[in-house]
Amino acid sequence: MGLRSPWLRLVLPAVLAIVVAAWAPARLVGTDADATADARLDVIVPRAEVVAGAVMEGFDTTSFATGSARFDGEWTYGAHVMSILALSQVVMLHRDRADVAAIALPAIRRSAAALLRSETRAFATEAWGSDAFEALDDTTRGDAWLGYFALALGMARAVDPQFEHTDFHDALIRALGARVDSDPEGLPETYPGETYPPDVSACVGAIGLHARLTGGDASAIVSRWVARARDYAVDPDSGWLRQNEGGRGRGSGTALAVYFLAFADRQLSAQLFDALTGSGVRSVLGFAAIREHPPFSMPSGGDIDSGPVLFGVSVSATGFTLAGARIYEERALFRGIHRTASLFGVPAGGRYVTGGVLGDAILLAMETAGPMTLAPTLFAEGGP
Amino acid sequence: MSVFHRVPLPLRSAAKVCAATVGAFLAHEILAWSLAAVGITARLLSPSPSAMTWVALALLLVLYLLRFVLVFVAPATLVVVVLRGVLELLASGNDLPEAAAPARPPRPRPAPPK
Repeated sequence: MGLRSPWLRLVLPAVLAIVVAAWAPARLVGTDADATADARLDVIVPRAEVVAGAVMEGFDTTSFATGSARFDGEWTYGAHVMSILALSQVVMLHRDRADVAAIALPAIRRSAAALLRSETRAFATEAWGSDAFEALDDTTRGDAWLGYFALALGMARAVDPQFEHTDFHDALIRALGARVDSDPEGLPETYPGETYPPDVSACVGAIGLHARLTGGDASAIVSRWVARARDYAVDPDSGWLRQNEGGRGRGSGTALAVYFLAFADRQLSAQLFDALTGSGVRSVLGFAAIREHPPFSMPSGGDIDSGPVLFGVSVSATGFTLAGARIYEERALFRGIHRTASLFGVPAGGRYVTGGVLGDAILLAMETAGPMTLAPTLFAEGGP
Repeated sequence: MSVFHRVPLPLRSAAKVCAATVGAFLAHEILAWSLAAVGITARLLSPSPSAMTWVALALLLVLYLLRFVLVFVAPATLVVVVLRGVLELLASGNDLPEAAAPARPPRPRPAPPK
């Protein structure tokens, strides 16, 4: 066969093109996946600086423009919560580095202070008609949205030697514990008439974290809740967590609950993670993404929780699953999702082009998940 | 004739594709860093789209186009172009003895009629 053979001139390049097209993309995008999973300083610190910088620069509801005052408020609140979670985890992963603490702690304190301001929770005050902080003893209220705040305060308390909100944090946990325990289904409302199991999982995670920080025992309240959650919050068809009371399982809520529940009940957290990744992972050319709806369910578009849904996979479910992949040491899945996040997020100088304040904080929190949870990574990193 | 045109054709094609890839990469990086610096997400999130929203969206689409071409198309294209260039060169190398044969001296031109 000579060099002018059509086989050599046409077929060989075509075969090689297919091989390279399949092999190269995963080697060009998200190449820092392992360094990120290992929380290497050169990768994590620039991202922590971006998140801390945004907090120090300041943001509020005017920084978002979703078209809904409630969602703008939720996003502001969520950005502060995720910033605290992300930065606290970075500090825990590098406890011996004073320079890392110097970047993170001022921003953690500032976000904690912002979360305590009445305007940051105005979205919930408007929904309930009164301020949640003045009704902490009222167990007829749900206020499950407070779970995020309580979890963030717990993480801040774990890393900040000058933590100033100990009494309030204790009171918040007592209130959430009473509400979770007194609700017949273990699902206190987030807003009047609106119940979201992922929000309640944040409450339970916060209760578990608080017990471990203070040396208390939350095992009874957590186990009572887990038993009810298996009956009422987990979708029996898919094994995923329901997004709202009586609804179907959803990828975004399940993935977020995997992260939150890892602070309180490793078994349910791992069970949800297995169910989600067992039927929800879509992988192409080394890029992984997570379905928003279980297979064989009615197709549905995206919403404010899922973000855009494309080919059945959602931005939120995919991003939140990074936490479970790191906690449960599923490195291949972590790499695949990290590549997808890099492909669509477009990293540039420690931030993501399409991330914004909230997106950057969420991704850093999910990609550093592990410290203080009850999952194996805790022990691999030396514990709290 | 420029130096570039003295380069064999298959290698010229490979060089053009390489140059286009480098150009696309540079454009991608400049656009990505610029959009990150201005915080494009805040501009895209707008309940009432303004001209700035559409500009931001257009720039983001250009960024994605460059990114997808660089990640999914460029590697295979580069490999194929370079491979075909090498194969063409090798094939023309077979003809080298003939091509390298000394050219015949030009025939003397007939003298112009007087």
